[in-house]
Amino acid sequence: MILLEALPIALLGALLGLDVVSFPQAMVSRPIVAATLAGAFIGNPPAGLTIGVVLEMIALDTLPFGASRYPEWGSAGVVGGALFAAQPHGMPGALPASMLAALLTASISGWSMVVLRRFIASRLERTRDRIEDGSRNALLSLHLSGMSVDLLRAGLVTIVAMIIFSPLVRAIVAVWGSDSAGSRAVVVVIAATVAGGALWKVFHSVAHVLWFFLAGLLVWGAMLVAR
Amino acid sequence: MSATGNPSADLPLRVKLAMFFRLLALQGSWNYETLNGTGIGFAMEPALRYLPGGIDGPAYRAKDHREP
Repeated sequence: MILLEALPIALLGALLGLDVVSFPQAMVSRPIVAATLAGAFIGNPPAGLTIGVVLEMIALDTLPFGASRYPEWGSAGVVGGALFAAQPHGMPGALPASMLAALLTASISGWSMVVLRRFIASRLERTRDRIEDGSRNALLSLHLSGMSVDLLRAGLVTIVAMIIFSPLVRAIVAVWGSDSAGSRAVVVVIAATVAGGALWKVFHSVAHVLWFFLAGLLVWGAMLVAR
Repeated sequence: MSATGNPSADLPLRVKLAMFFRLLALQGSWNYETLNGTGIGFAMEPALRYLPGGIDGPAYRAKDHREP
């Protein structure tokens, strides 16, 4: 993937990476949304949705709030969706390779958020006196620069990930030896195991949530039968 | 304080809207030192301009002061 092709994806990754924490936390950075949007950018939204569901099941296990350190799924969802949507339809290795690329991106992007927060803290130390003296400009500057650097961070992570993983995934898909059903089964089992663990934790920590889950499952099953 | 006893009732609608949109960016400067502190200051700032003395008054200047 040449730089020019990766730019629109990088812009999407930047905006959705910003949504994770800085602005506006509208949940568009959830992998199921991010990957579908990236797939639409490539021209194949169903492929984006497919990998988005897989990544969402894995992302369910992390609770991103406060000072907890977590994978950054906005940019990673975009990378995963764009990589999977760009592969020819029906290639057995496309889903596992794209998922692996998205997981690595999520991990690296999560680390970049820790670096960003340390950077903001160091900048705060330099302007602390002015802020405590009531300087409006110092406060606005600190806040807006934090958001700007976050946007830049997410865009950089996305474009670097696309440039590295795009040829890598294409090469993996070309030499992938396993059949399609087996490859997808491995991905589904991994995602379902992580999602199952996340549900298990929720069932044991939030009262009555099991009943809400079962009711939802019942409604979904009824809709499936009614079709 | 207003006649209703609610201090926010005196704020113009545009200030309330500005605060609402700034709240969406509450964690824009989240860091391991002050956590959400500067974000809270950023979100409240439009209303604090209405403190006695305006943005040059002592009440406004004291808004971000923290005791160690």
